[in-house]
Amino acid sequence: MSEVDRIIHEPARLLIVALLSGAKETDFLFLQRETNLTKGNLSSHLIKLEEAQYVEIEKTFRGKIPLTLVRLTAKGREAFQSYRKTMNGLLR
Amino acid sequence: MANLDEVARRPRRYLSEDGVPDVMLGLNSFLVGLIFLVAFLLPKGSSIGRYYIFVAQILWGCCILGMRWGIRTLRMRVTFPRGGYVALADCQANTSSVWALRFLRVACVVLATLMAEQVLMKGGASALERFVGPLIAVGMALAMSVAGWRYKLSYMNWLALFSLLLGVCVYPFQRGGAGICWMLIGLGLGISVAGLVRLRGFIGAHPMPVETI
Repeated sequence: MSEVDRIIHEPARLLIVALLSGAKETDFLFLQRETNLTKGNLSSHLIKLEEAQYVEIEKTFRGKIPLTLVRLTAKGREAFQSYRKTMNGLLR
Repeated sequence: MANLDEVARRPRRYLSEDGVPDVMLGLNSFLVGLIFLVAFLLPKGSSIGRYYIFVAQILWGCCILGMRWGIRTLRMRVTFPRGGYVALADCQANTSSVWALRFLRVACVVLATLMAEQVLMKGGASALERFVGPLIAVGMALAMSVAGWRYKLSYMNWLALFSLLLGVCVYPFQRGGAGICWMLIGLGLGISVAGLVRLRGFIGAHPMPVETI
């Protein structure tokens, strides 16, 4: 179990990373709707993922409305694949 | 890990939930059918008919561009403010398959032009003329059933059934190219209505958030 990436292993963060793996980028609203997390909770998980350089967060505007874009980095994608491989190995 | 695969497919599925591509694709099919139907109503061999073939193709191109613009605009105004913004990753196809697809598109346009020219200018009468509409209907029904089964979209099966019914209706009344046009018009209407129903459902299920981050 020592090989398991603890950052991704947390259920909410695993859900976020899995969602992001299926898209080029998404916004905060989409992640919030899909994960059913509160804004604060989602923000704190995203910050942890950003600190680990697994996601990139870009704050921009759509017209006058603030828009927070989130995308998985190459490092994050690699970590997710590696996590899946590890878990598959452990569960086999 | 099967659930993770399902989660990773959610962004793609989300973009098909709103019905916007169906509305625009149906509208496009309806307009294209109408544009080419006019060509069959013009006197065969007339100079206006000859020029109209090219006008029709320009209008066809405009319809495709309009469809792409419509999908983008509707998503920006309706879908994304309600359910959130998603951009899917670019297709990972290799260069040779991309070129093969481009070649296929050009070949299809050339073939369609030649066929239209044959049918409109030289009459194009053949024994198979009567079956063209129903054959297209069967082809569309098969494509829709496969899509419905693959992406678990039950409304696609209804559209497939509708396509078959249209084929049956077109068979005794319309021959050749005109039959195809009526098929496109009918099917376009059906797809648009199905899309509008899905769009209405999407708007109901995703109310506009009070505040956006």
